[in-house]
Amino acid sequence: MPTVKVRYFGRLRELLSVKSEEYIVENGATLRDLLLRYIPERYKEVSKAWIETIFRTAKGEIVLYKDGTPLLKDYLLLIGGRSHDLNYELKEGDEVAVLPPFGGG
Amino acid sequence: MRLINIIMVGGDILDHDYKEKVNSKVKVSETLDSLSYLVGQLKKSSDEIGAIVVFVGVVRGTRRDEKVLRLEYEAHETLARRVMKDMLLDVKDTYGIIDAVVEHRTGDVPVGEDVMYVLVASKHREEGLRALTEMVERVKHEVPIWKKEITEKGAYWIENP
Repeated sequence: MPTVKVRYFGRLRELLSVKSEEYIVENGATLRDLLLRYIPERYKEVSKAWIETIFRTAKGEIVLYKDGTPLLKDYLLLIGGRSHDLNYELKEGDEVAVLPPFGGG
Repeated sequence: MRLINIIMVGGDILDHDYKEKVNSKVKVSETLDSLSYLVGQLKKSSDEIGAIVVFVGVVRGTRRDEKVLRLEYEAHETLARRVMKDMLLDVKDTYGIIDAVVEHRTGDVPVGEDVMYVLVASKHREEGLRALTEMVERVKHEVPIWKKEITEKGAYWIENP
């Protein structure tokens, strides 16, 4: 089963009180699984805030594309510095960075 | 997203020598170099330079009717430097400027202190000013840096519109 490292920045680092951590995920697990299952399970006390922070929601439910993919807010998911969508299948050694909208200057 | 396009294609059409030098033209750090040092370095890069235009970002002491105490910055530093380098190469190619420098602070920055420098050296001021405006906007929107504003009434993550 792949081990992946996840890095958090800005309001997400603050929400989870952690800069980076590792997850051992099932073979075939995707970024969607990581964001909607693994991370919320580890942080049950803030899982609702986590989901509402990074996904678009309406009446408490995540908004989905027609194909059923959850709709992210303006958050960027990088693996090794490259952007990927939620269907990306996680691999051993992947470093996932979850980036909130930028605020420099 | 534009950020990713820049990472993937940035600078491929520019001269090799400048691409080698660009590492020293960007900085994401708790401290900035002095403006006089940066201007001096730019002047050394070419005797064709006829203008150096400078943007200084400063921590403002108010947020609407609230008094700001400080700003806290954090960055994905590796990626931020990479995006800045690609941005610099792209702007150099677009506007024909001679050289540029981009520096941004991280950590706690008190009110009144400098947080960002963008300097552009060009033959003439017109292309320098246009390049400067674009670079400042792109730093704010494309570089992975985050800012938390600490005021007397609370703390707020600020996202650039």
